[in-house]
Amino acid sequence: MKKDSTLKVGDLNFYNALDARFSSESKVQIVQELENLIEKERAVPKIEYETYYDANSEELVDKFFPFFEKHTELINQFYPPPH
Amino acid sequence: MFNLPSKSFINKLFDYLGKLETAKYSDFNINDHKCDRLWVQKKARQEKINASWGSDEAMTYFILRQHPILKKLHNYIRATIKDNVNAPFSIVNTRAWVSKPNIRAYGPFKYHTDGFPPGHLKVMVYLTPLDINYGYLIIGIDANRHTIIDQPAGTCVLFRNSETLHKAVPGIKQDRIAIEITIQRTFVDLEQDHDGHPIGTHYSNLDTALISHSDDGKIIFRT
Repeated sequence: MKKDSTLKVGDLNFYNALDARFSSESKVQIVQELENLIEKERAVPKIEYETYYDANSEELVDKFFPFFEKHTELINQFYPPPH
Repeated sequence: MFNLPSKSFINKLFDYLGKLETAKYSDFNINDHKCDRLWVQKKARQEKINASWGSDEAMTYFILRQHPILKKLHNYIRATIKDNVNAPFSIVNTRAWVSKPNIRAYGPFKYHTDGFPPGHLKVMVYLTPLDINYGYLIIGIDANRHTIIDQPAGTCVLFRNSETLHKAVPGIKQDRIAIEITIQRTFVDLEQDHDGHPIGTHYSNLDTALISHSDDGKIIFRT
């Protein structure tokens, strides 16, 4: 898979910053999976900054923790968990 | 657990903190940091503080701006813990505070986990000794309990703040001064690009954690 044919211009700096030990296929997979994750998260209504004072953490956990979890799972595919 | 590199570096951090403005938790009426990136749960915590301590005089927060000495601290910590974190990581937030001795067990002084999203870890940097007089730290319970005590000023502790129960134990004589650095495992190393948020915890969502701001909403990952 050629990086230039599959990645958007805005992704290239990130692609190039990824671990040099990763194959180009792995790098493309990471970029694309992260893009998908961000796009899905953006479809979830945000908790507006002006409402943080009254906001409760349950809403945050329900809405956004799953995306952090997926991000961590993706990282764990490439790096062992911390010890 | 590890230590800051030198006494002179500890002294420089002391000098830096000593020149800063400070604030109490209640001083932050909504989000004086003017930052929409970090999550703040103000009301619920303020109510607990009021119910437990009656006031928030027990802890004083330093107003940390971006500064070369903090950058140097971040660089030292990054280099020291990278093999333990086992992945690149983002420095999410830096806070610092003074806690008074003999305060009633509440919040950070009772066993708790921090409830941060998956992928986060925390580094505590103690600028005062960890002992009976200044206070100390307990991580884990029962057979996994580690009491971090009788350690010199400059002791640093990396731990899983949202998975492992932990608590600070207040000192009996002296104020304790600590710096807290929150990190998140990521695919590339990311620096803290905002002032320290005194009552902020973690990024409010993955988008704000990983994406550079753009007016047209394009997904451009931070590097």
